[in-house]
Amino acid sequence: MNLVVVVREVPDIQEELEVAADGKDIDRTFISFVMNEFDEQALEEALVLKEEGQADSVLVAALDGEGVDDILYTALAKGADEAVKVIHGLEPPIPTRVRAALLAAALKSIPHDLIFTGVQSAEDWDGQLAPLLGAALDYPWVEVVTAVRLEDGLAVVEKEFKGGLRAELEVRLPAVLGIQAATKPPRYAPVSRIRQLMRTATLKTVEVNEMSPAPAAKIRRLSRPVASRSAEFIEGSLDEVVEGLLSVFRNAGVLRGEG
Amino acid sequence: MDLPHKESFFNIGPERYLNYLFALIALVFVGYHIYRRYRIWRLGKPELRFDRIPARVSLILRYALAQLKMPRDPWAAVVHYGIFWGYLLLFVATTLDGTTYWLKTLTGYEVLVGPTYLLYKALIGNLGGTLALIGLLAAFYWRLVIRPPRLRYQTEDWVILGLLLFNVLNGFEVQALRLAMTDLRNHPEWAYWAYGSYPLAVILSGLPDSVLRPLHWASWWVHVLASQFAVAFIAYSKLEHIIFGPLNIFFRSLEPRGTLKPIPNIETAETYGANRVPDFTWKQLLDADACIRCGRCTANCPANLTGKPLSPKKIILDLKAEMDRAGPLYLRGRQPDGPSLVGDITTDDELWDCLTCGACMEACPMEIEHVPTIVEERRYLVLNEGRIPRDVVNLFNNLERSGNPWGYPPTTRADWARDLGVRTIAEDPGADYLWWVGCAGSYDERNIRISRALARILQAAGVRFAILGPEETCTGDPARRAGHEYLYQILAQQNIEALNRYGVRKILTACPHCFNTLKNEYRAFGGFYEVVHHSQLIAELVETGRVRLERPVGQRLTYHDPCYLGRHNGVYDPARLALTRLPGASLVEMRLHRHQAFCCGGGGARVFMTETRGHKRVNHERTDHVLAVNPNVIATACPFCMIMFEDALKTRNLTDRLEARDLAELVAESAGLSLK
Repeated sequence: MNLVVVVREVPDIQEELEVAADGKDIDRTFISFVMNEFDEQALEEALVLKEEGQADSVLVAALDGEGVDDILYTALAKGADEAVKVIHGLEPPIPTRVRAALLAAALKSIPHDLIFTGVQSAEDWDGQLAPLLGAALDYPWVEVVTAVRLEDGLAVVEKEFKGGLRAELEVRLPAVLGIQAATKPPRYAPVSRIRQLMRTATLKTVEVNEMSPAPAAKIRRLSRPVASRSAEFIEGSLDEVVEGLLSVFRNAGVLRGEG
Repeated sequence: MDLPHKESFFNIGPERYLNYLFALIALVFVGYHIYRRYRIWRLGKPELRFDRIPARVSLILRYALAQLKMPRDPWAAVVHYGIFWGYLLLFVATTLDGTTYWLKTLTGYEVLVGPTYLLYKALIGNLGGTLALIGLLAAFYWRLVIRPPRLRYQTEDWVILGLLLFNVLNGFEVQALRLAMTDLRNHPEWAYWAYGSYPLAVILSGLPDSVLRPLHWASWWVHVLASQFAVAFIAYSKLEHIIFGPLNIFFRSLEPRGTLKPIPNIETAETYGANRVPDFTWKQLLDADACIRCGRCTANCPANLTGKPLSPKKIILDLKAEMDRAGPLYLRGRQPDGPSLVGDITTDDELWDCLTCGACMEACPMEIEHVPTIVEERRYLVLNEGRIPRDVVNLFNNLERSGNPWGYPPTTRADWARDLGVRTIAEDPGADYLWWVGCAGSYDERNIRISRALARILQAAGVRFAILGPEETCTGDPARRAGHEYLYQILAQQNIEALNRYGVRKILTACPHCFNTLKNEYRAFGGFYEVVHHSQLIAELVETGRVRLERPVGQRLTYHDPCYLGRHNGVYDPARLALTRLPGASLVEMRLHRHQAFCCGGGGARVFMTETRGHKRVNHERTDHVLAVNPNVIATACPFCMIMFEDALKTRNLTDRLEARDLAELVAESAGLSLK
């Protein structure tokens, strides 16, 4: 069984991010990129399935963009068998709707039985890639997946709902899974191994022709969050602090009676 | 001429020359053994250990001949000095006997004659035998009655002691038999000089020659055979340390103890670290052969003493077993399969338990270098196998992404100093000191207080200093010690570039780990700096009166030596000097201090790892050492020690009777400087 993990780059939030001059995107001139943390979970889950013998191969695919090579080499260093870069010709930021269309086109030439991706990404938090990709390929899809087991022609997945509720679902293959968390924390690939692969391994490329613009949300304005009221410190003796806290709760109307 | 003289081969006929044949056979055994091991060492990677020969000769004199580490254990001292000096003198006696015999035979010139001979007998032969006897009897008492747990008690150990004791007693017996037939009859006053065998000679003198002669002849041959058997046994037992020990001492690293070596050509390396015999350097392989299994390393290992699986002795002996198993196969050009040294024989847990504190190396009488070997095996785990504990993965990720172990934003590195008027080196390129604040001093709340105290001391004393600010990143020390040499080299190069860009020559730091790295390890990458630890500068400021200590601080202080300042770099005194100048304070020493200080539990990147193994946490154990001398302040001079002590005091509810304070805080407070 062939697994494909779709990963993407996101800006490294360790660095100071600035809003670009046009106010519609962050300034991408000097920032560096890292793999989307949910994609790291998706990759880990796929690698675990391969190591357990449930799957045969793991291929990692990403849309071309700044920093994508590093991410793909990192995935290879972690144990992926192949890495494919999808060449497109669009400028970032790419809306999820377009992203899904490009990937669906690319996946036509990539053999796959099951597609993994992160449940969402720090770049937009809309969590739409798995459903849109599923729709574009006409595959079933499941979001917020926390565990995957493969059976004959089926994936048995655990999905998390609100309030700690969990469901176990059977999904017909091929399918798309939006992974929330892998069963193990993502593994670490030492830089030395990544550099080694940069010298020895090659990234495959798949070219996708420019397509008619898909309907997608447009960013009108981007701004920094404005600090509103600052926190209130309750000081004094233990009794005074407790009394202070209680009055905050009472004023907020979350405490009834003398409590 | 009736003078006392050595009568060689008394009572031994022409069959005497067989003696040389036996000696030759024994030497062939030993020589062949050395050759076989030499070939295995040659499987290892190259390493330069032939530099600075005079310093190496001095090592031999101090640690192989004078055995300066022996007195640390009084019983070991009596046993080992006794046997070593005793047998060395006996060896000299035999050699002199042989050479003077041939001199006399060939030229007629007699050396061992008259008073020379009597002195030879008394001060070489009999003194040697007596010392060896004392040492051997002490050894039996030590092993049978006291039974120190660090020793091994195997058949081989008893065979060696029995053999050595037999040879000494047999030697006295042979001499006594000869005296009974010669000196005791003709010149009893000469016989006293052989005081070791004299009493037995007196007892035997009543027997007739018909008994004494054959008995002497037989005993003489037993002595020859047993002695040569003991020599040959060097090749088959731990006695090999007689050869490999001094060799290993001679080739010891002359770098400061904590210094690690870079992986050469890391960019093009195919494999990293060490797991197979050829992955180690020849010196690391020699280390394994020099091990005498005395167990001092393990008996002093803080991880082992708190119940963790790590035993430095096992690490070294695991390597030796691997050399025995796989070495001959490599020599025949085969690739041995079977269990992996790292993982199967030496477990990952053992390697990750190491604090790199160097107590093992300090204790080792053979100067074995355990820590570099452990780090080499960690390098294999990290860079080759990717088997890394979760905490260490987080550490690496944070170092990669943020340049500090906790993942704080690099941009806020200098925020601790915002209101203090501290300048960056970019603002004051002419500063006398570049103060390397380090990650703990920049981000850790408790250690920021220490940085602020130090800043106020420097400002009050008029020291012109500057910091790198956001251009500073972790020195790479925790990455390097956790086995991630590659990440270390990236960080080191980045820092050296920044330091050299500003032409920095003199660095001040309050972190012994940064101190060690900047001072000893950046050299290999083109960073040459004079590095001063804050305890050194503070001591100087106090001594020269630039900081006046006026207010009483603490009453009873004990000083905890940070491993990377003390044992690894030999800086023990400045902090003590400053602490004793504090008015109203008295300094008490813990039992384990200076070079024998017990690690706080934070070295070797362990400060960033959860302590899950063992029956006790290392910082709790060290806190017990502190409590034993009942101070009200633990003074230290290392941010990691501070973190470990703060943790121990809190988790053991000791905060109301004991506080952990950095030297800088105590000095600032005594000098009346603000601590906020």
